Amino acid sequence: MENLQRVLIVEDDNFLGDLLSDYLKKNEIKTSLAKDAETALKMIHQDKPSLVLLDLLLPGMNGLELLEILKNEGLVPELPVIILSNLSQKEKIEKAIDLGANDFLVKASFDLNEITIKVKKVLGISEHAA
Amino acid sequence: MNKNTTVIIGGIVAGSIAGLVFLWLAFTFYSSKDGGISFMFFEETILVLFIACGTAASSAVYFRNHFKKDEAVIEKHKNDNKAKDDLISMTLHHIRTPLTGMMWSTKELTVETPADHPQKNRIDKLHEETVRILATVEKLLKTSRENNGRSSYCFEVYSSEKLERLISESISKMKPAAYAKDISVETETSPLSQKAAKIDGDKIITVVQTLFENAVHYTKSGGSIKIRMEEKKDNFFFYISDSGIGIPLEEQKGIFSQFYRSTNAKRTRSDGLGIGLFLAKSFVDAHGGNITFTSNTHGTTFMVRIPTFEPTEQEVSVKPPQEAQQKT
Repeated sequence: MENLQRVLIVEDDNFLGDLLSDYLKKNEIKTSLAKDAETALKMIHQDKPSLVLLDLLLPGMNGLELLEILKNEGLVPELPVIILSNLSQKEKIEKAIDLGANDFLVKASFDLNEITIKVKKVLGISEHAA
Repeated sequence: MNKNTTVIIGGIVAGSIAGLVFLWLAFTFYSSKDGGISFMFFEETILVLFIACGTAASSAVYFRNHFKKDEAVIEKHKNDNKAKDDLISMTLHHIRTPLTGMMWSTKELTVETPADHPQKNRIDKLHEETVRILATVEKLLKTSRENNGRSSYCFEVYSSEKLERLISESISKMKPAAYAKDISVETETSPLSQKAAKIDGDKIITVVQTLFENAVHYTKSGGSIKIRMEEKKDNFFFYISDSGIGIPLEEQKGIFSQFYRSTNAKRTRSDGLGIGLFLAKSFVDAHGGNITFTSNTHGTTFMVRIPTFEPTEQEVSVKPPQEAQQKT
């Protein structure tokens, strides 16, 4: 059965965004890509993704500000958000978790397969299904 | 004549003139009042007093200028260093993003390239090197943060047993690297009390990793590493001894300095950065502990001391804060 769930990747770096998107697609997970938080917010309202993979350092509004808006709008925690950032300061992590983030992954510590496993787990897709 | 000498002489002259003017006024006043009484004693005292005041004032001006100048130089150095650290930190952040992409890509390639592919070894090596560069960038970023006082610590109450477990688990993960060099690893823990320590788990793991990795690097094949943990009074001690090459006596003073590498270390390993022990010391210091060592040609022993205390019931049951998933 076709997986209808869609992951919104919010990543301003083309290289990382494309790698993530390609790998998730290869695992039969649909993706869309936003390069800044403002675009991501519009896409969340319009497309209603099943999960957001959110970078923190973004041009303009940052990832935590976007998360705060999503929380204030009551979209989070219903909409799962996984922070995927190279920032690993405790205060950022605590703030993200307080704002309802589902998980906080440090990019440099995980490979694509491990990130995909986390995504599948949150989406409730079994490892063998995809 | 330099500016400072001018200031001092000017001060003395100004003080003296002020003294003489005052004397003349006083003399005129008292002469008119008392009809020319001798004011010899009064006159000398006031003169000396005003010369002293003038000298003191000019000296104050001199020292103020002098220290101000020093402060300005120190401030400039601080600003220069900060600008340099900020530039390094920013560059490292920029490098880390494409490196992460390279690490993801090379990992994918290593998994997808069949074992019998002619380029398999090269691809695997490419991935290993990318991971190594990324780890180096991470270490440099930690150093930069430490230098700028931007390291964030998240202290939690760890019972002595939990601390011992944290260290033992970290050692267990690194043992294969020692075994690969045919180095034996022995761990010994003395009975622990109910005391606790306030620690940042990630930082303590970094300290243990640094000391263990150094022990493996600088110990020849067939050597040994011994680890011991114990509690004495209000302290938790972690010892790591190796049968390695040792640190030359004349170089022992500098090993905790940033970017310092002993001649033995350079001879054994050319790619080290000399920041591991600097970070380890900074991290242990931040815990109120200390790190010391003894070394000779038969090996080196590092000792890490972390202060402990009697925890309250509330502190024992405190829930650890959420942490990022960052593999160590």
